[in-house]
Amino acid sequence: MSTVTTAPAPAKTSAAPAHPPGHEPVHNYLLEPGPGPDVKGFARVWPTVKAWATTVDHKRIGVMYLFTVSVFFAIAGCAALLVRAELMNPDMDFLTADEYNRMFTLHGVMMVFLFIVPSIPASLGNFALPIMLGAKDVAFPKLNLMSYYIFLAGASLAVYAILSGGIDTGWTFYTPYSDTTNTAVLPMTMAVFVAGFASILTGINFIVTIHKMRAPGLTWNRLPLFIWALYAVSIVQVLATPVIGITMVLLAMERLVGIGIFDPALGGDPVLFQHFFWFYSHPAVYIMILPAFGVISELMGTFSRQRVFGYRAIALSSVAIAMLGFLVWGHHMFVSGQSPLSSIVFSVITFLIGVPSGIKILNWVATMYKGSVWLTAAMLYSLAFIFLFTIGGLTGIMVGALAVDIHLHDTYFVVAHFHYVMMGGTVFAMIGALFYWWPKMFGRMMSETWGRISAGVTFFGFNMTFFTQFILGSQGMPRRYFTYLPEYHDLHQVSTVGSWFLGLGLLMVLFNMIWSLFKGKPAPGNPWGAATLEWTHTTSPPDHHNFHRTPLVTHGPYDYDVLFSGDGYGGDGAGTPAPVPNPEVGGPQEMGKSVDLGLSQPKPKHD
Amino acid sequence: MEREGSFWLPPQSSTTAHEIDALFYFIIIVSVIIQIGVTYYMVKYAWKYRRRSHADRPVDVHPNKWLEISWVVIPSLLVFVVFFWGFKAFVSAGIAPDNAYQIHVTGKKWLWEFEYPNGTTSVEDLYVPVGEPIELIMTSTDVLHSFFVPEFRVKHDAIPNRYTTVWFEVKEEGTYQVLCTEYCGTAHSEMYAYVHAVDRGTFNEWLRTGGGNDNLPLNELGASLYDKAGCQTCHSVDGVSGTGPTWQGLWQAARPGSEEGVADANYIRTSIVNPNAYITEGYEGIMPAYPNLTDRDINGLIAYIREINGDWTAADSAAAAAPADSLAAPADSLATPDAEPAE
Amino acid sequence: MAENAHTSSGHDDGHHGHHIIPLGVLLKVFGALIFLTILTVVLGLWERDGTIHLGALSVPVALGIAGVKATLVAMFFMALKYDTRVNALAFSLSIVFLVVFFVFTFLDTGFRDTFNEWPDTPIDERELQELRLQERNEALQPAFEAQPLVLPGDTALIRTP
Repeated sequence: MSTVTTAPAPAKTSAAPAHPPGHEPVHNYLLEPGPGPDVKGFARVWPTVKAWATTVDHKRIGVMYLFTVSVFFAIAGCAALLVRAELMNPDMDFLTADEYNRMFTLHGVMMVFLFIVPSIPASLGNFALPIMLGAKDVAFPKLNLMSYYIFLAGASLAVYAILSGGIDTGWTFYTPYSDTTNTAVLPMTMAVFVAGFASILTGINFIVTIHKMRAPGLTWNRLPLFIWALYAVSIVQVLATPVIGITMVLLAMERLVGIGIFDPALGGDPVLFQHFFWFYSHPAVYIMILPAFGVISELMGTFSRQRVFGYRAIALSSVAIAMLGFLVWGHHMFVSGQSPLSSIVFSVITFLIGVPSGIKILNWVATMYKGSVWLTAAMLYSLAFIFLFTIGGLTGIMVGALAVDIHLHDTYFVVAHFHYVMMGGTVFAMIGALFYWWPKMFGRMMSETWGRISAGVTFFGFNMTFFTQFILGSQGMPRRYFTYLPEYHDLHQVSTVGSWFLGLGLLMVLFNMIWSLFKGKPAPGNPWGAATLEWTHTTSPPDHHNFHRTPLVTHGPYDYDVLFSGDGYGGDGAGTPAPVPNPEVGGPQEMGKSVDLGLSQPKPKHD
Repeated sequence: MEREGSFWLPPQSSTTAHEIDALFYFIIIVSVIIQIGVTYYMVKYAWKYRRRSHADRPVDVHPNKWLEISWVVIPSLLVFVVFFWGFKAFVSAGIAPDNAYQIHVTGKKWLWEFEYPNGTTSVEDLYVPVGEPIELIMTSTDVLHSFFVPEFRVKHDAIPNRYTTVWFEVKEEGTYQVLCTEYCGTAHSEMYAYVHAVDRGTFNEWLRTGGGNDNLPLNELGASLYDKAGCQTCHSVDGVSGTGPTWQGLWQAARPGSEEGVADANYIRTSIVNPNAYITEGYEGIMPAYPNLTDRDINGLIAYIREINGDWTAADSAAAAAPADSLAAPADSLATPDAEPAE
Repeated sequence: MAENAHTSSGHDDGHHGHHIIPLGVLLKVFGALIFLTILTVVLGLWERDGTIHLGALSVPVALGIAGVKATLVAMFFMALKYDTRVNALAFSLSIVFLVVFFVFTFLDTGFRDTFNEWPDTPIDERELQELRLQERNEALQPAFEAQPLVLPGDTALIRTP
């Protein structure tokens, strides 16, 4: 048994020397390339900054994305807390009506465009995708870095727009209001336009990487479901994001030059803006949820130590949802003045999309059947996801029904619905994914105890905040209201208090993360006993070039028997006796065992 | 409100509300069943198959084809049932009966205006006869608004330069809340209106007297318009400066640039009809025009301003009540309404 | 093995047989695009002035011209004509999404009168139509009045008791 002692770590990303034997990173990507150990103190700062700013390593780019989106999540989250605080009482007035309108718009725009759309694909996708495929990097590493800088440019424009007074149009920018309001709509539309390119380029990168850079033996049927999800997401990003870019340009031209496309006085149609906007924004919500689906597949498989039930159904349903998602945008517009015929068509197709999502939920629950369920923090978040997303999905059916939507549209019912799927769905999945991949990314284990407690607190706070909003909405409380009628007072108070619990739970996650970087136990290569390449073939954290040797894949991604087979999967027939998978030590490490057959992977030019 | 709603929904006060409610409850009940099922199995498996040791080996589970098929087919059937039900109720809520009484509605920042077939206009108060189908022909003069009456389960956007319609039939007399549900700016949350469902007789009387305004003394008319025409959004009456100048101290105050040099009746009349003619120093020229206020309405506002500045006596009221002052449209003409002019 | 790994063109890895489009072709395509743009504008002006009456055809005609221009750009400026079929396929698949957008939006704008006729026409067009109707009636009025319905001799047909 290895004794794990934690030496005090000088810098937050240094791997303590007490990794289990055989699991020590050799060329830790967090440190290399960078100043060597001989450079000390402040002399390290500039070389480190330069090394990270010019990196083309997908793992470093993923970490930078993670940091950036977390900052925006925190800011937008604070905006949400302020919004809820203002709604504590109908006569609460620490925000004026105009400030309140800017605050909820800030929350929406920042959460949608600067947090949730890039969240899992750009941070965890960038980090994990090439390793899961057995590749050294993505297909276009420099393009990857450029994506990040484009994202930062778009984000800077958005920050500029906020600092110059913000906008008060709501994140949906409906005309004619966004046409005529005196707020910083122009810089904000340009921010969205620019940030969209980061999405598009990342999507292209992922598609090419998945098609062209899989390790030998990794067939399409052996792809981890997280990769299938990222593949579907990338297709949607490439096809849909240009539309929001052009929509923002058209809105900007309408404001600047008055081209008259949305202005009824000039012969335009305000409803046309809604068609343009939702043509992207509906596929966008699938961009938000599909990577979360992929994460949950990984977590359910690993923590049930059972292959994911219905692999093919889940893989194909991801692609089906991606494609069908382009045909349903009008369900946001049932009472907007679009023709009843199109409302009917959109409603039918909306219901069709519900079915693949339902299949996934049932498949995930069935995965646990006769498995070996390990209730780590990541698994608890994953189970919370299943519960919360089911509610979100079923209430989606509710608002997708034509007649009922007449009553529920633009009320708090819709607000609750999308928070259940986006926050109860994507954010919970992302936190679970962070707990899961944190050891791989930073070489440290997060505190499991505090992780489980935070899962309970966030779950409780989330339901308290948002379940009450279903009732508020069906009772007629409209959304985007700064003040409200007295009969809604009690439920608003409950919702506001719930938001404090939710904030507390999220803070616990944040502190857990920071704590682990300093005091967390150094992680072995495969603490969870997973069977995908990033766990079985790399150290924690991985080497700068991911693998010592090109892996050869001879089994599926959820084939947990390999944890017990002494044969290893390098095909070397070494016949090592079957070890008991031990999360302390992390399962058999195949880093030294895989055989390089000299197939397909070209030698990298820069190493 | 004396009417009883349920835990989830407001009272069913229109004749079509129950159709929407029935579908709502059906979906809730099916959803609760599915949710309980999913949660039950999730918790059961997480407990029953919890990890005993890290040496647990995966067990071979044969895929059950019929189980997978069933959970594709059954949800598909359920969603089709829900779709058809929603479609039927949607059509019934969307097509008004042929004999519906048509009222024109105009949404503008931040109030609702109603115009009746005989020319009567009303702000904020929509009087309708109970038990008869009413069709609202709606439009907007500036940005998108949405007319929502929770108790009727009725909602539709009001769009500039287009007509959109909703219809309802109120089941019992009472007052019902109207809310704006399409974000439209600063006072979006305060853009209230009220549907007053009254018996036929009361309604006819109300209509005949031009909405009751014909009989109001001028200063009271002005006071009521101060609220309903939205003046209070920007102009206070207690001396506090808002988006617009306060009316306290306005009457006969010095206004260089106006015809007589003071804020007299003509100045006030011009400021309402053509606001950018005189912009008071220290304020922006953002006041919208109010061309739909009749001469009597404007006289009423002038009277009200004079009253709060202490310059309106009973004698003035008596003089104003003389018929020559009343310029309202003849209340019993059957002129059909003109199309709402687009702003 | 190393020699066979490269194509015989001797270019950098990644390009196969890079086809260079002659300047003449590019200029001719550019000329065609300019002509089609001018055509679009001229047709629009003629339609507005009343020289031609395309009516409901104006949108399909404009889209058709735009489609031709887009095809020229894709085939020659983006060199899809000289590229592998896969890329042309990827490009045309994205056109599918454009068509989806147009078709579904047309399901809206073309059928606004599904339940009743109020939402069908914008208010300013309605007022214009009513104005035109009124003007036509006024123009017809003199001709209508020129023919009295009752002639003087008709009174003889009315019996007086």
